[in-house]
Amino acid sequence: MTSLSRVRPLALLPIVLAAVLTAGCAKDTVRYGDAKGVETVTNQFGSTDLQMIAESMTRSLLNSQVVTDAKRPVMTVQEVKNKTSEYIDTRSITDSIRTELQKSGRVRFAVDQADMQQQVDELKRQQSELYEKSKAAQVGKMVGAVYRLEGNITSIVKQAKDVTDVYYKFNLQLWNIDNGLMEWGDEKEIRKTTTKG
Amino acid sequence: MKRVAMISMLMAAALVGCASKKTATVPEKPQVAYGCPMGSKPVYSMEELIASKVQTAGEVTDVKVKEMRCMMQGDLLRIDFTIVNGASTVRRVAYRFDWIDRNGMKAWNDDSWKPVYLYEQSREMVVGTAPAATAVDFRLVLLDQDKKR
Repeated sequence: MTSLSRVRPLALLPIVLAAVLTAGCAKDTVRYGDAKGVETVTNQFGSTDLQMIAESMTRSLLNSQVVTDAKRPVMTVQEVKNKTSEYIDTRSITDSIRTELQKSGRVRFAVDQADMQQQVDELKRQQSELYEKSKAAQVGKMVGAVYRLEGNITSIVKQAKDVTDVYYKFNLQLWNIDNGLMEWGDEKEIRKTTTKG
Repeated sequence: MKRVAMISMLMAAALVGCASKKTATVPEKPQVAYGCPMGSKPVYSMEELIASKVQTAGEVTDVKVKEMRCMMQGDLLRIDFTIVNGASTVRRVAYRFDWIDRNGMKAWNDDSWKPVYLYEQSREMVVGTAPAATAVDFRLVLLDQDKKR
């Protein structure tokens, strides 16, 4: 017989209660982190992937002939198709690209399809009798884009016993709306591997 | 009398000459090393250039920047650097550029950390481009990704 078996069950009760209470009182710790840091929590599409893609595409486009030769060309952002098996907010990627390009001061953006309704609503609102005619925005003065940005993101996922490998490929192209020529294109590849244990 | 006046005029002219010499400032020529902007600091070797441009966030062992070159691509600064893994194991590091403007101030938001996978005893050439023409100088920052934080 071990010494434990000789202890009465009731005598253990305070110890069990204390353990439960301690576990219940354990608090989660919240800290601010580096928003631009390398995030490797899972191998799913994450903030580092988004930031790397946006940065890589922006810098490449800024160095392209179409931007360096033209004087602040007007672009519009179209859809980036998500062809991966997971949910990715591709609008967030194109928003980051558009913001970086806009900040560089070398590109201008026309209203895209997603924001068109809001633009039209505002124009209509200003056309109402509530606004002073001479200072209200006029219908028929919007500037159309010369180029459109579109792309896609694909992934290949391979899984073995202890290893999961994810490969992402982000592709972005700039098309001339007038003549349908592709003026620029680039891609960014990312590989992430998770090993168990 | 004329002679005295002549001598005093000459002395005054000499004094003015000396004074103007003292106040005249020659603008410092901006230094460039391997195409990279160095401000007014002259740099005579690749090692000196790397020492002045590369920083680490914490300790980075075995991985070093060995070569660096810059050039202007249009009005944007382009930087090529070679990163070398001297270890006999695979190393993971991350890098980013801090962009500096003409006044020595931060020229752009923080770049994202970009992970680099380095095979054992290998070298990798990496290219970076400035986000805007206002970013005229830079610091390259390395971070060890194998360290647990």
